[in-house]
Order: sequence, then structure tokens, then C-alpha cells
Amino acid sequence: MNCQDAQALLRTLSCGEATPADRAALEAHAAGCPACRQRWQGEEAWLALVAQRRPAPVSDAALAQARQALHRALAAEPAPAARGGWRWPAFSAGAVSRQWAPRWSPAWAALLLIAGFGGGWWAHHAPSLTAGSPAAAAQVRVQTVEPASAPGQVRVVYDLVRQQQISGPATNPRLRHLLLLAASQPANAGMQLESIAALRPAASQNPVRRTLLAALTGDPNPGVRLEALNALRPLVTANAGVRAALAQVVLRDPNPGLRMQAVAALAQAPRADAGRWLRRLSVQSSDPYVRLNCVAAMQQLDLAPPAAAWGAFTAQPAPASGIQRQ
Amino acid sequence: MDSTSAQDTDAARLRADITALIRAAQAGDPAAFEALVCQFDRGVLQLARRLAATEQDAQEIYQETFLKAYRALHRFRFECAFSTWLYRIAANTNLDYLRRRAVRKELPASASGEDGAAPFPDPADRAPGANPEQLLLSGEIAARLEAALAGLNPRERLVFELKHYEGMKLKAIGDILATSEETAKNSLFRATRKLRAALADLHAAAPALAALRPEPGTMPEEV
Repeated sequence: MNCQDAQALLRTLSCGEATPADRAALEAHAAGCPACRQRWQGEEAWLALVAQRRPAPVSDAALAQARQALHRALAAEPAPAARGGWRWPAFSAGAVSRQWAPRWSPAWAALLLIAGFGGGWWAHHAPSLTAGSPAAAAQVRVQTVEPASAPGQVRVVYDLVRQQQISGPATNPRLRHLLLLAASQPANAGMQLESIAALRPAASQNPVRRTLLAALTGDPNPGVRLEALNALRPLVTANAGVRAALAQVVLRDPNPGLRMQAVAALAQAPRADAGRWLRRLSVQSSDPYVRLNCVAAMQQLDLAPPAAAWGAFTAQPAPASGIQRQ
Repeated sequence: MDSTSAQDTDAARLRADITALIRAAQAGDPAAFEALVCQFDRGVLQLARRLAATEQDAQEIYQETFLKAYRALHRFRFECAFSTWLYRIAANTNLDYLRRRAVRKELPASASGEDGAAPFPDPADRAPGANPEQLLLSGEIAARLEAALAGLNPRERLVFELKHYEGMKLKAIGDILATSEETAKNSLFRATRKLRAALADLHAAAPALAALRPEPGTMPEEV
């Protein structure tokens, strides 16, 4: 090797990509070349200097915070598969503004104007309500009261909430939409449970499944999460997303009963899939009882648990980060 | 089964799981996407924290990266590793952030994170047994290096971070930045030249710190 070759190797070294063979070649050359030896020492000194800056690893708390914020943001996003097609707007006000605000266009504005005038006309000319029609009392909620521009006049802004009822099979598209809406409103857990029960036969359909998965992984009420899990249970065999959500529950859900239910549901997956998930969870879960259940489920499926799972009963893995709920 | 073939089998299973999750997420399952996020997000957040001025900025970069990935997931065609595709999005999001920041001419990186943890550890944490003079010098060097890094242009900064602190190969950096290995190498050399010029006075002290040199970070497993 000559000094020119050594120079090329030193450039590789400063990129942090020198192999042991490169270093050995450099060493052999530098032993008889003081100039290259000095250059080499300079490169090593530079790498040592660069290595003085070493960022702290990401804490579980910071990661959990990022995941929670992302979870909320994703809930407001249209599903990728639904892009380009029609779907119900997202339910929360924030989500609606984020999702639709950038897409306003003159065409949309014109459409809304027509809809507004049409709605007004309909309000004045609609036939009176009869028994069995969507009907009932109206509630008025005053929002603001302020003086109008003309003296002696006042302006009142109010909401008119008209209660309506509708009944029929849960397959009715309008009822389906209302049930999906109700299943996603954590303010009323009883209503959520009823809605999920009504939606259960349609769990395999995409919008219903998405709502159930969101309830399973994100609802604050454990009863609602359990109801969603039970509704999704028949899909474990066919749907990889459901299996992934159940694994999330096993790792992250704060409720031990739900974690066990999720393990039991995963064990119902096709043997190869069940084995893959149970094998991983038997090592990764921070809950020894979950790990024990995973191992037991694997044994029932006649699958060998990983050796690491046995060791894991004595050594506690790092606590899983995730959604903080009760 | 020996340990190498067991590792190969585990890696193959992981690849199969990731592929299944990608396909489920592409079919519209948000839970599958979140499961994917959990596989890769620590590295994405780590990179953002190195480049961002505050913890809040890092969290925003993290979120923007994954929202972009979610929106573009239907275009992922398994032509490269998912991790490469995701890091490409992360790299572009970080570059956008650095460019916006350069335009705003804000202050250099802050000293502490929002969650109370310092983005860079106290030198005492990394080398038990090192003498106090070395530790003091090490802390000063880290601060000087941080300031010098803030003076690089966004692309040079990103290449330098990916190479020296993520431990990536130049080939992988080229893939992530949609450029050649040679171009990535040139960016690294330019960054190195600028940093060496800015830190010339520290060179004399550096050899004494060689003993404190930590192991470089590692890239998440390629899938």
C-alpha cells in the first residue's frame, strides 16, 4: 500500500465505514510511515470528538405521549382505502374542520347554498308531522343576545334542536350511520353498548369494523372495549388487523380482564397466526399472568413456547408504553 | 436449531408479520397501522429529537411523519424495505422542519426536553470512572458540537446525524434521501469539513477523550 491508498482508506475511516481489514492494512502502512500515522491519529481523534455528543434515548413516557397524540390524529383521518370515495365525515368538530376545511371550493360552496335554500323551502312547505314520522318536540338553546345595529332592537342567536326517532333493521343505512355515531360517543357508555350490540352482525363490514377497532383500542370505558372485543372475536380467523388490535390490547390495555380476553381471542386465530402472536406476546408483555396465559394457550395448540418466555416469568420486561386509561 | 437459524426464522416471521400488517393497513385497518407504528416509531422519534429545537417540535415531526405515511400507505408497493420507505418520509419531514427553521433564523437547539429529560445525557452518565476534567471537557465539546451542527445546511446536517448517530451505512442514507451513495458521501464530507473548521481548536483535546467514545446507535431492523 502506498500513501495514496492509505489516504483513501482514511477517508473511508472518517465516514465510519472502515472494516477490520481496512484498519489492519492502515496499521501495516502506518507502522513505516510517520506522516500517515499522524493523519490516522487525527481521524481517530475526530471520531472521538464527534462521539462526545450522544443524545439520550427516547423515554417510554415521551414515546407514549407521541403515540397518544398520533392516535387522536389518526382517528380524524380518512381511512387510506376510502380515499377518493365517499364516506361519512369524521365525527368530532375538530376532525371535521381538519378534514374538510382545506377542500372548500366554489363548487362546494354553490352546492351548500343550494342545499341551504332547498332546506329552508322544505322547512316552510313540509307537510305536518303525523304519527310514525320522524318527529317530536324541539329544544331551543340560546347562544348569544346582543344589541342589533338599529336602536331599540336586539339580536338573538339560538340553536334549534329537533328530536327525531327512527326505527327499523340495523342494516338501514341511516340507522347504521346513527349507530356508528352513537358507538363512538364516550359520553354515554350505555348507549355505546347498545349500539355495538346492534352493529355486531355487521362487524365484518369495513366502517363497522373500523368503529369497533377504534372502540377496542381507544375507548376509555373497559365495558365498551370488552363489548367491542366480543363483537370482533368472530373476525379473528380472517382479519390480520383484528389480530394486531388484539395484540395491542394484550400489551397496552390497563384492564387485566381485557388482556386475558384478548389472549383467549388470539388463541382462536388460525394455528400459525395464533402461534406467531402468542409467541411474541409471551416474551414482550410486561404482565407475568398474560405471559403465562400465552404459554398455556400455545401448549393447548400443541405449540412450543419460546425459551425466553420461561425466563420472562422471573425477569420483568420493561413496562409497555401506550394509552393510559382506566 | 442453532442460534443463527433461529434468528433467521424469527426475522422471517417478523417480516411476514410486518407484511401482513402493511396489507391490513392498506385495506383500511387503522389498528394495523398503529401496530406498524409501534414497530418503528422509537427510531423516528429519536431522529426528530436530535434535529428539533424542542421536545414539542420533535413530537410534531413524529406525528407529521406518520400521518404522511398513513396517507401515502396505499402507494407503498413493497419495492423497498418498509423501514427505508418510512425513514424516507421521516427524513423529508425533518428536512422540511430544518429548512423552515433556517428561514425563521431561530435559536439553536434547546438544552432540555419537555418531559424533563435532557435530550443529551450528562457526561457523568456515560463514562463511570472517567476523571472530572474529562467529563467537563466532554460536556463542553458536546455543546460546541451542537452549535456547530446547527450551522450546517439541512441536508448536510441530516446526513451527518444519520451516519454518526443513527449508525447507518452511506448506501442506506442514499436510499433514504433518494440519491446515490456517492452523493451522500459528498454531503458527509462537506459537513465534516465545515464542522472541523468550526471545532479546530478542540482537536488537540479530542485524543484524550477517545476512551469515552460510546457505541454508535443502530438502525431499526430492515424489513
